[in-house]
Amino acid sequence: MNITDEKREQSINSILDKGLAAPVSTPGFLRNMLRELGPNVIFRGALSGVLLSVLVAAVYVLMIILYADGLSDQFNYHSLLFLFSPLLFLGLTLSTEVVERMEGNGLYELKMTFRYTARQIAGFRLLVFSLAGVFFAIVGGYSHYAVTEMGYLLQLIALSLSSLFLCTLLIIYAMRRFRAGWWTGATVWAVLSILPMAVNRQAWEELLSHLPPALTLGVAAVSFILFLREIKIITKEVRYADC
Amino acid sequence: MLIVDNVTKKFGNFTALQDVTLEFSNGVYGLLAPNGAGKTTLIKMLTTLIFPTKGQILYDGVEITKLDEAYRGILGYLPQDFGFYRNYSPMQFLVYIAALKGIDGKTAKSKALKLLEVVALLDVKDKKMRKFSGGMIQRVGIAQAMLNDPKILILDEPTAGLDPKERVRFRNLIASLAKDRTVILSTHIVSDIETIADQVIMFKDHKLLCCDSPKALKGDKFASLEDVFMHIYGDDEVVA
Repeated sequence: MNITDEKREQSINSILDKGLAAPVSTPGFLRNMLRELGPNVIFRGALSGVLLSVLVAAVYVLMIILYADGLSDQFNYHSLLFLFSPLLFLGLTLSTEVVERMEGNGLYELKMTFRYTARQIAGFRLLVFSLAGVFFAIVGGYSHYAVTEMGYLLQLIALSLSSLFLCTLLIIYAMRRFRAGWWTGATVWAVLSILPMAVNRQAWEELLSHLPPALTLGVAAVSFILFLREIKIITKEVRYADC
Repeated sequence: MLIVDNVTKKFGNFTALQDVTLEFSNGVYGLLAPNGAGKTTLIKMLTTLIFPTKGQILYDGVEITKLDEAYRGILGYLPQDFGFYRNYSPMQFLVYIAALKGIDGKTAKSKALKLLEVVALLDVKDKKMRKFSGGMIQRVGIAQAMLNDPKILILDEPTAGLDPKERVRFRNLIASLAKDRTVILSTHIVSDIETIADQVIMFKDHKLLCCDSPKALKGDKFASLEDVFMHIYGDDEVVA
């Protein structure tokens, strides 16, 4: 079956009649999505996961505050802060994005064919969750500072934010590339954070405790920019890996 | 017009479809082939769920990936494995899906009510779907696919798992929705196609075998479409 010149001409005329639409920027796209869908649709089914994640994160902070004194000799505060700063973000993404995919039975596939695809909505949610993660990272950093008095608050918060955004970048990249992306990203994060502790706990703690805030804030900023780039790809990219 | 232009799809070393060229205008197109022949692969490419390894798919002359949300806006899709929220009523579900399709709340409600009437589910519009039969769920599936009044309606094995009575009812429903749009219906059930398809598309060995009307395919040689398929596919899996 060949496409005739006449049909090709008709198609070209049809495109020219419609004209060219100005591309929408990523913030504009996200604003449109929020306005047209509303928080109820974007965060559908997320409430229980959000509550659970907040509860787990709150328990973590309380544990640090309540039990740190008694365990201070065994605690590696900087290592733990680095490992657990993305806890709220990980909990929120696990309880929403992974659950959404696991609902399975064709619904996720169907949602990929709508005007706002499941991936675009996930991108929006990840952005919101990363901002929630910042709040948690700051609270986590402060709780370590309050109980240890072993570092400057800025240093702890900078370390906490660098950990958060390195993890968010890893998770979003893995989620975009692989079907089991969250699990892949979370596993890599756990290995990257725990392995140095397992190999040489003291040296790792020493290294983290001496990182200058300028460096860790720089890492956080670069990771956040790359994270935003991933969000942009998710919201704009039609073509994706057939996985 | 929707054009599949010399499309090949490979998964690693496996070629699911090879050099397929098709044109779809208004009417009902039946994709008919045994399981594993490439029907669902073609449908997934038409719905932008996967992309051709070679070739392109054009709508009104523009590649569908470039049209992005504009293309998805004119698309209605019922997947083979239609998912739904069991604790939702059809009305709640349709309004939720309408929002994802970018339809405003007020329009969504009136549209949902109209479609529930069309698919004969108006009397159970507020009942939870967990107790619905397979046929009722498929009708909810058709209603969600029709919410945006799609120019292209794609149905992947829509009658699979339905009892004979439901199948007949479903075929009539599809026929009634086929005006002024392209309906692409994938099935391996011959009788589904014979009654409602204007054109029948068949694949063999992952290549396009033919695209013609049921009458032309039967010609003088065969009494029914079923005979045509048995002649072509022999012992391959074909359900009458």
